[in-house]
Amino acid sequence: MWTVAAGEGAQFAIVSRRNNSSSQHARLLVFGSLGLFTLSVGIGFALIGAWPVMPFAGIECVALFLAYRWLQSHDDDFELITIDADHVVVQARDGSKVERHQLNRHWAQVVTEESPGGRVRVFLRVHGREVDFGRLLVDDARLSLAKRLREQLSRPVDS
Amino acid sequence: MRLKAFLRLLGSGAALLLPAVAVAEWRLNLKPAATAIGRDIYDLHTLVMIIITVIFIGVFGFMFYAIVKHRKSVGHKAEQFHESTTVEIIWTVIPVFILIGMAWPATKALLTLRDTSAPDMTIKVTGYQWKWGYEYLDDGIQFYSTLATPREQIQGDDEKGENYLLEVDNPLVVPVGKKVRILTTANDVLHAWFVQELAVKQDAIPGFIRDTWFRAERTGTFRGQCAELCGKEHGFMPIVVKVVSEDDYRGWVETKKAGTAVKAFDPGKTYSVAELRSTGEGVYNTHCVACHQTDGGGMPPTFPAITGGKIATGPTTGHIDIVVNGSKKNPMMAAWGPQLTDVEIAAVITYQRNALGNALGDAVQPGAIAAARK
Amino acid sequence: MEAVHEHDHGHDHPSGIMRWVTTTNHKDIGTMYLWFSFTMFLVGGVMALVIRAELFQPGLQVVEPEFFNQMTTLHGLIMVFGAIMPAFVGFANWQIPMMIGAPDMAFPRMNNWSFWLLPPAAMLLVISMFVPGGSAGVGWTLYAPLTVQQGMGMDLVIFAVHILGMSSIMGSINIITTILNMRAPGMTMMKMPLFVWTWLITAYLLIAAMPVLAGAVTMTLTDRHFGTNFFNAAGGGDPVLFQHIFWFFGHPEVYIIAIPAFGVVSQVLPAFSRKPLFGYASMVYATASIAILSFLVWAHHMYTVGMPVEAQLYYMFATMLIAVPTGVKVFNWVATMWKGSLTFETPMLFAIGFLFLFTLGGFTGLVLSLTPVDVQLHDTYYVVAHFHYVMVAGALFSAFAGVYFWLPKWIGKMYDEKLGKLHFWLSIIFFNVTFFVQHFSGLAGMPRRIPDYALQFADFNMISSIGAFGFGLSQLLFLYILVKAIRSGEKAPEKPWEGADTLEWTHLPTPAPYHSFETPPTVK
Repeated sequence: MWTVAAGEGAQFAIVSRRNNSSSQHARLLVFGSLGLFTLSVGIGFALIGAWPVMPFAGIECVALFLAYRWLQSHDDDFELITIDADHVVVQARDGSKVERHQLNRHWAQVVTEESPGGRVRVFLRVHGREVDFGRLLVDDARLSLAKRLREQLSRPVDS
Repeated sequence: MRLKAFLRLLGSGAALLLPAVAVAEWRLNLKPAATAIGRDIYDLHTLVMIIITVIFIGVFGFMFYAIVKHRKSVGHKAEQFHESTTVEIIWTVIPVFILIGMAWPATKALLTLRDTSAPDMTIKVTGYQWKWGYEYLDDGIQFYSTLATPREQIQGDDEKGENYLLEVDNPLVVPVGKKVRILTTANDVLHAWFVQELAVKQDAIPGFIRDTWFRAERTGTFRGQCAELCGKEHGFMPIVVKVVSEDDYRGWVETKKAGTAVKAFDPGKTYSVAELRSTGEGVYNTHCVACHQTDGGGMPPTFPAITGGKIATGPTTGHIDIVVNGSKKNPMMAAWGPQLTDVEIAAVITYQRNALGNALGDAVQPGAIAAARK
Repeated sequence: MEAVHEHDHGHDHPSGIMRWVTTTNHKDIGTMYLWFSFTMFLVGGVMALVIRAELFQPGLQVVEPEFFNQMTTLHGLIMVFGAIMPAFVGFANWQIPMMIGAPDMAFPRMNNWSFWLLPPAAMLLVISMFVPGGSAGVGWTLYAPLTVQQGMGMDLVIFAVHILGMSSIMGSINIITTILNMRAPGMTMMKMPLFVWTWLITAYLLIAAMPVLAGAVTMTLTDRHFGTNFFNAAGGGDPVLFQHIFWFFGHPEVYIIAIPAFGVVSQVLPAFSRKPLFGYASMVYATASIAILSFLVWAHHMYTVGMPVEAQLYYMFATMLIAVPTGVKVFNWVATMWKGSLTFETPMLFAIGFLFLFTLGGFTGLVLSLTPVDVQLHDTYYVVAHFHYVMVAGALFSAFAGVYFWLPKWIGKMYDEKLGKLHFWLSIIFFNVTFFVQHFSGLAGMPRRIPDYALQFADFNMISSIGAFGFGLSQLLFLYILVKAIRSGEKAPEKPWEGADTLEWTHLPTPAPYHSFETPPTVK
């Protein structure tokens, strides 16, 4: 969740990705075997007359499937922030949602805010428009990213 | 057979070594069994105990040696070995052989234990909340067996007797040396018929009949208890089995049959309140007292009071109905119709209406109960 | 220009109650699980003391029989579902991300929900004592058809079990996903600390077993109120069916409790032996085999229901087979200590206590596995002694070992070593005073779940009751040690235990920062 690579210089780029340690194969094996086992236990009990095990087995398979699908759809999540002479571009992919925001570099401000739930929110603000970033990072990493961006933005354009 | 003799010797040897702890209160082992299969189980237990003691001493000998010798404070440096397939295989395979060694006698004992074929007599045991019903299928005798220990002893108002909580009014009587097949079932919830010295424990399951057996090798009185949680009086429904000689058993059967005949009542007769009340007191103290208490105060809300109770002081029809058919609202109130005779029910209802602080003065006749059953 | 509130080093997170209600941080949630578990441990402990007070002498002195039955029921349910299971989920929350090099759990918000389901469930269990008719007096096994006779308290217990099950399933899916997908680069499956492995297997068991329990209590509920006859013989049902369903869940449940305990001990023993765990791979395989076997032996809890003799033989052989992988584990642990450089701080003492007494409980399990012997001992105090050796000296001692072991990492302060050792010695002595004699009561035929007993059992019961009160009071010392460490403990060194070598010790400062790994450590 926290692979951070950065390029320096006029063209500044920083990307964060998930660290997925499980292969497709392992996921199918684990979630699939669990679902199959649960279902067969449910069916087994239904056959001897105890059908109320079945709905719970079903609910659980749904939960397992949701977890599996979440993993699958978020495999390729990334967030890329590039800064060139005039623009800050934030590109992000969250599951099936792909976003691209282009902001004017000279007016962009980095803001950090603490929400009541304990999460730290960091975003870029330009003329009242707010673009969040650092979604894939934990709070501390998000804050240090904000700090780096702020330093980068405050540098003279030509350096 | 040799092994068995050896084990028995070991068992009795241990008992001799520890004479002080061998008295009843400090019994450290299974009670000596009164059946052959019970002795087999005793020996099997001894065998397993020997095996696990040896393994225990072996394994923890290593551990305590390491604790003493391989401690940092005596300057022992840690070696870094952490794998050995050979060793892993050895300590996987050896236990398998030990287990096979145990499984063999266990299987033999189990097959004998479950062989209920060719019995000399069959007794049906029914678990009730909270008493046992016995029915001799061959001799046509039927009776209930309830706790005989007085409530005062339980509440601590009286000195506890020698067989405290292990005594009943009507013990099960069986002849010595005969294969007795026990059929178990239950009337309400699960119970379990358990007499250790006869090596019998069998769950009694409502709606189902299960069986077990024993063949007592010596005469004597053997005591056991219900072994499956069956509600509040679970600890108060003991089992007493009297094993007697064949002749004594025959004699007992005769008197029992005669006793049942005397009890038969005359349906035409009208009983007085006093007659019914005195019979009813006995019935109440056997069957009702556990829930409704000696003073009739009950334990509301689950067990309502008889004294001044809405049903007990209401119309007799309602009172008869709840005793005969049980309560629809409160599953704790059992239907007593199938368990008690018309006289007993009439008597206990009359008792409840004319004692325990109630004084309605009406007598319920057995005829009314017979009518209510229809 | 707008003033930006900036904190560079360790910003402060919201404090007060809202922090705990809304937190999604694995450490906060782990802490809550552990405190919840300890609270429930005390509640369940008080219930145990009510039981032991009544059994101090023959006769009825302290409570009525129904209330006694409610105490045995709630004591069992609270200790199993409220104390032991949450304790190990607490360890999982704290340790798994740190041990595999992850920043947090995979589904932090779901993690929050799975914890916050627990207090309402616990409330339901406690409230059930105060409704008309009292709580369920049926034993923690909730056997039908006695359940049909119970009052409203039974329904509250059923709801509580449902909620607890839901919480367990969410927690397990979270743990499995975390272990699968959030390991640091280089942290392959066979490099994971054994504690992580044991939790992966436990989560598997939980997910497989929980729907069965939910189904069982649902059928109990519909039998009670909606006229179904699953377990009602009069309506064509079968009371024994309930036992099959319950123990199909219940036997894996035993291992759900025991396996994470194996995991903790497998971390503590090598650390204080200054030597790697012996036979790591065989430990993983043994744990997995125990888990698989646990689904194949359930009816050994039911040897006396009158199954066909062939079924009894099968269950006897399958049950005896469990002794093999369990033996492998015990041998591996002893081999880990062999030729090490042992020191005996409190965590090590509890781990050795575990090893010694859990094995004893395993041996009595072997005795009980033999059907003919079990027929004599089933539902007697022998069984009570057996499973308390496994649950208390097994799971609970392992949890104590874990708390003492990781406390410095969690709070950055040391506990009082002298008092910790005193806690160990008091616990192990009083534990044995309480439960060892129960083997004898059981051998002599004293049934379990009885509020009063025959005079022949009087001496052992009195000893057992004295032990129980001693054990209970010793646990207040544990509370004192914890509070003292948190309030005024000495600052813990970066690496308080010389031999500890998992990531949380080697790659993280002490105390562990709020978020574990900002950038993933690389495991070589």
